[in-house]
Amino acid sequence: MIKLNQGGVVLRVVAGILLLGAVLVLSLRGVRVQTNLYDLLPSGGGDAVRSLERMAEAGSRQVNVLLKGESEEVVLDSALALCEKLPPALSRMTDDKALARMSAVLQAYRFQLLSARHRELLRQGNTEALRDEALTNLYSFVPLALYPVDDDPYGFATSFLLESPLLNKKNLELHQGIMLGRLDDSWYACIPLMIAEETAASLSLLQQEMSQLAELCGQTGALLCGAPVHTWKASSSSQRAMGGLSVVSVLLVVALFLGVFVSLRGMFIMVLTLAASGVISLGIAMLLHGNVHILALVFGCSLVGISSDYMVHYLVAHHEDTDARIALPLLRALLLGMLTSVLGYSTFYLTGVGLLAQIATVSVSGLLSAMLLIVAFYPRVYARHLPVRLTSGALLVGACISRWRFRMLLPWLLAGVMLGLSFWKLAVCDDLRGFYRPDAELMEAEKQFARLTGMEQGVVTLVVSGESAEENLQRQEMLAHMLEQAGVENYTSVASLVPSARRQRENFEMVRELVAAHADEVPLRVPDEWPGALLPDELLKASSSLSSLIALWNGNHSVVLVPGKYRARLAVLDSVPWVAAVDRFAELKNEIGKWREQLMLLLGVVGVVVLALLSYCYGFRAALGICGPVLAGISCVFGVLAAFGVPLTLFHVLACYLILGLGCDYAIFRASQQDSQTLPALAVGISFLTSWAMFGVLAFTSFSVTCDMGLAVSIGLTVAYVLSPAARGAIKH
Amino acid sequence: MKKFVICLLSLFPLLLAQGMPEFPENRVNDYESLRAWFDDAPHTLAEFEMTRTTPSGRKLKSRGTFEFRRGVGMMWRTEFPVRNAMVISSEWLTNYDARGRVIRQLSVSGAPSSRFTGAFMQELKPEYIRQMERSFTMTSRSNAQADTLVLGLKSKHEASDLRWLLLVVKNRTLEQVFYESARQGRTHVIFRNVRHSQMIPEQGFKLIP
Repeated sequence: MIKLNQGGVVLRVVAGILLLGAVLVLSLRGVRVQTNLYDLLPSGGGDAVRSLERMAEAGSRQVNVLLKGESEEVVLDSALALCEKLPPALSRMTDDKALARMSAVLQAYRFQLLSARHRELLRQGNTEALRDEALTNLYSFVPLALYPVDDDPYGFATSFLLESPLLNKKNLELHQGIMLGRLDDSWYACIPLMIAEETAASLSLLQQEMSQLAELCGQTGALLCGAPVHTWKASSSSQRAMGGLSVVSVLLVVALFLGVFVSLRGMFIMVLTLAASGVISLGIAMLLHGNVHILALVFGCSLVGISSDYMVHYLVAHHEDTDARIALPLLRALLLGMLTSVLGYSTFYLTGVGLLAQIATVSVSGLLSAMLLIVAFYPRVYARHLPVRLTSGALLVGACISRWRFRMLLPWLLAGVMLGLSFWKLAVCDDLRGFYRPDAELMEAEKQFARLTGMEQGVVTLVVSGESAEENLQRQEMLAHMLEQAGVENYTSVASLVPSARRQRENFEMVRELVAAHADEVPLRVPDEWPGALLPDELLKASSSLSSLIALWNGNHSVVLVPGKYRARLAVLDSVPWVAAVDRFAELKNEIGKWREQLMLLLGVVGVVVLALLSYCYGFRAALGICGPVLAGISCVFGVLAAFGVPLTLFHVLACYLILGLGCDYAIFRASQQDSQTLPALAVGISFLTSWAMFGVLAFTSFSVTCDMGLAVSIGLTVAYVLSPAARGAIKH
Repeated sequence: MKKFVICLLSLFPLLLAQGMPEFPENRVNDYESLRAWFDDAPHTLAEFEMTRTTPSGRKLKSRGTFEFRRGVGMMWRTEFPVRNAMVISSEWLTNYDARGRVIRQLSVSGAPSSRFTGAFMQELKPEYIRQMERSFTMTSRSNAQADTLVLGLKSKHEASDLRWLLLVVKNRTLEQVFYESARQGRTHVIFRNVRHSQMIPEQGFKLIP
């Protein structure tokens, strides 16, 4: 029989196997971190979401470099010089070779890809005009032709490209793969770059590449924009903030341990335990999920710190005992505390949301492994006396409360008031854009890029749906006609470059008739049989230049992008059933709002379950006494936010689960404290201070996600700790 | 494409000659002296005869007239075997068919580098020649009498359509143009009957008592 309190061999073997297994998994698979916000959306999302995923994935790898200068010559020279020194994981999307490959593919289908003008002339039967145009090209001093005159005397392929609304953007011209444009009396060169997929998937590699690029650009005054730049800057900023705060946290914890335990040995053992449980939880997450979203990593790993609470309780409880076995009442309390936390996080699996499931995996496995390590190793490791400076300071906290006869009512009263305030005034914020504020330089670069590409008023995303890929292309062509009728220009759609098979076939037949009519004047050999239609995926394989365009292509459901300034004119599409305007941020906002509501509901459910569990273990009255401070702590988070007009976010709610777990621990230990005992109060006090040192300082970060979490933890844990004496004596021994 | 046009059509006044000379080897260093080889007349009119051999070996011969007005633009009008015209102004580069319909028009006024086309036509400035140097290696050779210049431009970019261009200038007038394009083949233009008209100076309008 395994004796949990004696650190048996079986437990140590199990812990060792878990740790080695995790190290093996991480070594083989690495740590793949997702940073794309669209990865947060459930995979079972609607058609609109699925068709946006590919676009978001391509966009998440595109970086735009902007150079500014007084003359076209200067910016072009600077741009070309910069292109010679790009870091290895970055490649140009529009260099001459990529454009040449694209042209070669289009040339093979030149008899079926016609510009709108040529198509109209052919439909009208105006073959004389086309003949005249061909002869003009043939005998012009400088024929405006992109293809050999023998292969394309009518200039079909040339016109298709030169007159394509997709490739003909106002204010921008392509020179040797560099986009040149003019704004406000300054010239701009824009170089679109693509980051390698492996690099984009690894945060550390991404940071390395972007740092190199930034250093290169800094020498020429170039600006950077694009999704990878946002990821890089946000992660670097949060790492810097966390780095500084980590030092503060460590110093606080070191000071605390020195002040209480005199020695730092306990702290080192605790750090080792946290590191080992962190590795195990990460290994299990990588095994189960394949990759981890950065938000899950931030939350999950930090939540593992709850386990430090258990370690502190053990250290304090065994400061005088030579018998290192864990006392059964202590073990019971620790297990119960862990169970409340595990219960809370396990409910995340019920939401069906990938991100929350990842958080649950990291947290639950981390907590379980930390507890396993404590029961497996601590009784053997800590068979020594650890001096503890007993301080009555811990007892002072809540001393008045603990002596009040109706003390168990106080947390419930406070909770009632705070919840009332919340219902009255609390607002919510689920818009992800509110969580992230880029720096001024990045905002400026994005603004200039938007102005250069005519997207200064944003972009309207239209999703076109069809029963098949061919129907989708045909509908895009119908949509193009509607947009042109409404005066909408500069829109981006795949059908602008790859017409439907039906249209391509029609074009081919018309060209055959034209060529037959004027074979003597303009000799041109056209295939006898229909060669088949050019498909979008075929064009993508040919040229990386089009990856951002072909990312709009998702077969049955594809995306058309319209400049935001034409938003009002899109009302004509309201009655069209197969086209829908999608607001990507609104989609995310709705999803995040649903998660938040689900988590709040589950928080209540978990609270009831915990109450039931504690009632079973200690009786209903004791359960009420224990749950009171926890409820008060969580309610105060909502109440304080409401009072100060700060909207509630998903991350505040996630922090409430942390408050639930730790608050229960505080209350359980205080509830089991007898009048003559001081150690539980001391242990709870140290636990609170270490938890605050680790989480509460996050409130001082500039990154909204960690700031919200730190703020909620600071408020909730403090209230739960201060009111925990109200539970004193609730558990009768 | 546009740089090709700039290169070809911004070097003007014209002449006659025969045969393709050897490609020069000496790099051009002095842009000011290069300018001196070209007449700066405000108005030039000439006839041309063009022979193009396409990559498949087909020969296309045409004749027409060429007119240039400094500060306004230039027109290349083909009369035989088809009638068409190409006009370059500071705003547009336009191809017209026999009926005068616009076949293709490229704007020069919003697109950055095409502004260069319009500006170049005002005056042959050294900085425009330097811009050409970005894409071409310029070489030249003059004869012993210093009345004939052979100017060669070879493309620096493998992907460029224009491979090389050769100009023969005699007595400050462009006589012949040879160029090779990957897509169009080899083209030879001979200019005849070149007439330069000079601006009448302000003093010419003052009555002399």
